[in-house]
Amino acid sequence: MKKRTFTVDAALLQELGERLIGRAHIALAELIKNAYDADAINCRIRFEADRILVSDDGHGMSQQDFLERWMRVGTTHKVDQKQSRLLGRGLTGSKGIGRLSAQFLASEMTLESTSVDQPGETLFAMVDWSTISRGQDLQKVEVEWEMRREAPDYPDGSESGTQISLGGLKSKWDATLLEDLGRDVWTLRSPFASTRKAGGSREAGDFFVDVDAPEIEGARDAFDKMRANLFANARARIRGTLDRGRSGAQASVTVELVAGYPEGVDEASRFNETVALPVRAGDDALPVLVDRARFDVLVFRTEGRQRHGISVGETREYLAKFGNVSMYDAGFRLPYYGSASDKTGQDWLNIALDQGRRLNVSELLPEKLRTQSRYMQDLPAPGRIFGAVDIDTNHERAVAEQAGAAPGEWLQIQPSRDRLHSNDAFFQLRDLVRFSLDFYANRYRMLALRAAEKQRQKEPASVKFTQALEVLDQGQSDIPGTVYRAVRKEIVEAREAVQSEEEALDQRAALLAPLATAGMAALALNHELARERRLLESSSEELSRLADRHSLPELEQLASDLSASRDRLGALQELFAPLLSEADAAATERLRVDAIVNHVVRSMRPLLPRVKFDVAQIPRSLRFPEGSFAEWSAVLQNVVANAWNAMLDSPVKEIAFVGERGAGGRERLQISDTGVGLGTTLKDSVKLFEPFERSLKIKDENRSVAIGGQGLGLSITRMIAHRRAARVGFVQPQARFSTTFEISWRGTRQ
Amino acid sequence: MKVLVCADLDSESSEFSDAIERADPPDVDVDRLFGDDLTEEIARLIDGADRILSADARPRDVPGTRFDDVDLVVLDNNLAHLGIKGARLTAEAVAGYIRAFSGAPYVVSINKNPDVDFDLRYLVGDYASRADLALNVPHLSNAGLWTRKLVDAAKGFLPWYWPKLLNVADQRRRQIEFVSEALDRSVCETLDIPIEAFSSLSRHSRSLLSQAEETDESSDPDHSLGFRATYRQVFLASPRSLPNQSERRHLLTKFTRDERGIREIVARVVAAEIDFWFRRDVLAPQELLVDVPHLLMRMPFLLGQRASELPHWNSTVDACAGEPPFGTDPEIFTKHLEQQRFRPDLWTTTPCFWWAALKGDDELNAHFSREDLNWADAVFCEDQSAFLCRHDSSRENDPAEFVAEFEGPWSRRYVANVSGFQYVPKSRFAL
Repeated sequence: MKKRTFTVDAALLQELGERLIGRAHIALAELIKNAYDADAINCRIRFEADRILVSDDGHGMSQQDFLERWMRVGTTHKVDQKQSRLLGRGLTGSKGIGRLSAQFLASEMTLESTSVDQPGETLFAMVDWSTISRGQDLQKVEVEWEMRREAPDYPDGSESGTQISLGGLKSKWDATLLEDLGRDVWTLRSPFASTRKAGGSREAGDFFVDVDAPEIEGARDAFDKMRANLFANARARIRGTLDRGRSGAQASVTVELVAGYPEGVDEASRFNETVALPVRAGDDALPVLVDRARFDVLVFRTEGRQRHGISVGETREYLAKFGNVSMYDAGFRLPYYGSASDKTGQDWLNIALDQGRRLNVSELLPEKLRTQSRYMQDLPAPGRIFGAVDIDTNHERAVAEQAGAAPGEWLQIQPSRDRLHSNDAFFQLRDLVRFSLDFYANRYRMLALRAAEKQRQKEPASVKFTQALEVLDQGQSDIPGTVYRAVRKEIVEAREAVQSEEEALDQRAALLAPLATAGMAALALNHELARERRLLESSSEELSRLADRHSLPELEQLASDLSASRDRLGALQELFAPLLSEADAAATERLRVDAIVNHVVRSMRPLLPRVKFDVAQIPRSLRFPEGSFAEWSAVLQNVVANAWNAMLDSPVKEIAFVGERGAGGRERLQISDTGVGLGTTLKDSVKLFEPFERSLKIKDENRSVAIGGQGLGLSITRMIAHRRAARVGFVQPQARFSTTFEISWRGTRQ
Repeated sequence: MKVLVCADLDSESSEFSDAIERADPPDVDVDRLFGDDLTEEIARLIDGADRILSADARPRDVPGTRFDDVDLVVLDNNLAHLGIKGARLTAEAVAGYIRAFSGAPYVVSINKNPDVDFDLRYLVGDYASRADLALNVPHLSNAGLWTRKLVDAAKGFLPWYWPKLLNVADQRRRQIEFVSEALDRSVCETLDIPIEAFSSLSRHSRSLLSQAEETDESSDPDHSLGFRATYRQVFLASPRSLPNQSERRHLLTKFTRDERGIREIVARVVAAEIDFWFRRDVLAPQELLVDVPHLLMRMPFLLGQRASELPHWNSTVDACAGEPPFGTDPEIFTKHLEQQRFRPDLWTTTPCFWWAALKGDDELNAHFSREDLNWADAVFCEDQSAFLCRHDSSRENDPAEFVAEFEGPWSRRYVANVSGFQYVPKSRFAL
């Protein structure tokens, strides 16, 4: 059989260089990465009238390097070499085609390079891309080169380095384009890595890129200053590390929040969590496909006052352009991720997607953290975060191959150089970063709830008054005697007043435990009620069918009775409904009074036979202060239950609700009943709001039909009303009624 | 119609099938699957799904299950007694797999929310369920659920958002066939939704498609992002049936290996997704499209001389299942409504009309000032699929107004508040 080798068309150079690279800054980035791989500390991009000069102070190329490596397309020596020659940097290149990207920018390229090993000799080579034509054999493409004695001006006066001059530019670079390019180049390196060398050091992490163009003089400084000011405004920082993931190590995640964030949290907070890959439940059968990753994400508040002289508008604008979470491969940005110009790349962490799905609970966090309700609403939107994920695809490939992984089972960069392949390794990395953001949201909500709780538990006022008395006594000699005595008397009286209030509060707090227990039992009972309802439903339907089939009117009556029982049970269940619904337990709105009154009347009616309710005198526009449906219905349920107990022996049983807007802008709801009355004066009726205080003695023969009667209802009512800035109390009864209870609150302006 | 009732316990599967029997729907055969048998079938289904999703198996290589040959799966939400490997304790964990990897076109979960009969938020029932519909056992015995006839509705309870259960399998199969043929076409274009109509939807309503559309555009000044989203893109973006995105991607890459089998899986998932999106985000707000009952509330003169009598209002609800003019005045219908009718019937179960066009039709709106017409003060009760007078002293309670949770000007609706049924969340009544 005959044999034949492949031939390669010269047009492949164009395919590899120009076609794959979609943007100018990506093309330039490839040249900058080459400078980095050559151990440069400085890389300078200078724009002149008709050419672009990219020069560095790296170790340069010898004649041998040029002939064996530079002239060989697709060489993988950087993968094999793994680390840079002098500084031991992880190499960024892998496919040996980066230099071909220059075609995207210009038709001619001149290469000058002085090797650190031969400082007196400079390699000089010229490539005219336009002369390379389709159909020509690649191996026949000639590049002119020679060794010269004179060297170009490398950055920082270096004796070695490389300069690439691009002539025959394909686009005109005006100030706007240059500024855009500058920003792309300045963001090429991770914002959390060192960007400015200090004191002439040559460490692996020192690498500085600058764009030298008169049109944008000073722009770099302004850009750096803005970023530094912005960073100082960050409210939270989320960091994560994975090292030796493929060997079974877990990733660690840290969330730090500054003092005062969330509002009411006085001290800075820090949380740690470790997690094994793959993070997503259900993926646990997959092997770990990521070995090493680091990420750092800052969270901002994009409302309210900002510090360091930048406005909210500037913060928002900056984050819109440069924010979100970017990805860096060996320290260089993959422009797709977090890009403002590509929607899917911008939301590569699926944050906006999950916000659209109205996700309340993370799909990634472990069960033990799913304690706070709806915490995913605190997931920061892409416009509020700025972050970087650092990976190294060369490292991933090396470790994966060592472990015998098949292609596609590690983080791999796409030929377009701007993103990774969307394979399982990428999804594992993405889930890990999202895990950390979800973890942040979870901890933030926990702190916010804790702060709200703390706000309620501040130092008692009586202690403050005692401290004030001490200060007053210490300064007694400096104060006129009459003033001292008058002020002291006022403070002592105020202290006594708040002490009695605090005692009442303590009593109410003591109520909570038995109430909560009773509440849990009631909810369990409610669950059983639902089962009983179902049973009644099926039994009554079955009976009805039998009655119909066999013409048995008595049976039909029985079925009808059972059905009525089912409906009564259903109405009773309504008493619990607001407690079972998350939306009803959340206080977010000012709710209409008439609707809540109607609900309570409807759900309590089966318990209160022969009571006439009048609910027609409540203006539709009347709204309670902000509070939850569960709270206001609890208040009304207690008041109605008390009214019922008071009316057990009354021949006329009537409860009327009257809502109105009173003088002085206060709004009120009055609930009147035809019971036996308060049994005490209006002035003394305040005592009835204390726990276990009762004026109404329920007769033994009535006990089976009474509701409650433990002396807790009014205490609960007052507790809720206080919390919602409302007042409760008994007032002069309305005409025809014996008792009138009033809830009042500050109204809205009409 | 073949119905497969699935529950972890024998007693519950009996309870479900007895409830269906009491409704006595015509031509329905009920089969039961419970206990170890159900465990076995679910394990086989999940195993097949895993092999297709993460290994190299083709759909035609995996064995079938008992879910394949049924029209409707009625699935107990609580599957805690099944000995299935992993944490698949509820219907939520398996409903998506039944949809994607079996021939059963429609899945109803039972008792996910035993304390809820009517969900006041989005008017589609439980919007978070992975099943096509979440019901409770007593609902199964309500004949109205199966036939959608008002006369069959137990105690008059027949939510407008309930489908006609006898029809759902056929309709879903047609949807799947349609999606399968149109996988790479724009959802909106195939649904005859013009770009300006799509742009007028609320941000949330657009979000399913806007999240799906892969584009280089970051800004969306004309709110049209999503208009070009294809069914295939919706499959990739939607986690409701198959929550793992990498698995969805992997599935698409296998197209060349068993195109027909993979296409069917994708189409089943997407058809359910689009159906749900259309019901919740396009139809329920009654803003882009409006159906006859809600249109009558806005334009009662469409009933012509009969607008003053409540029974005539209600006759239109039944007439919606028939032919034009659906109980409205024939002359007005022909002149104004017919040309604004939303034609594709694959995703709707009742006639709908383009609201913006009717609202802007000056000649039509001139009927408001006709002095020869009087109309009843009727409101459409979403829980009864019927009109009631806003105030009626012969009834114990007037219809209750509530505010649904979707954006738009038509979120204020009514329910009759049928005694013995739970409406949740209550706070929607007080907004």
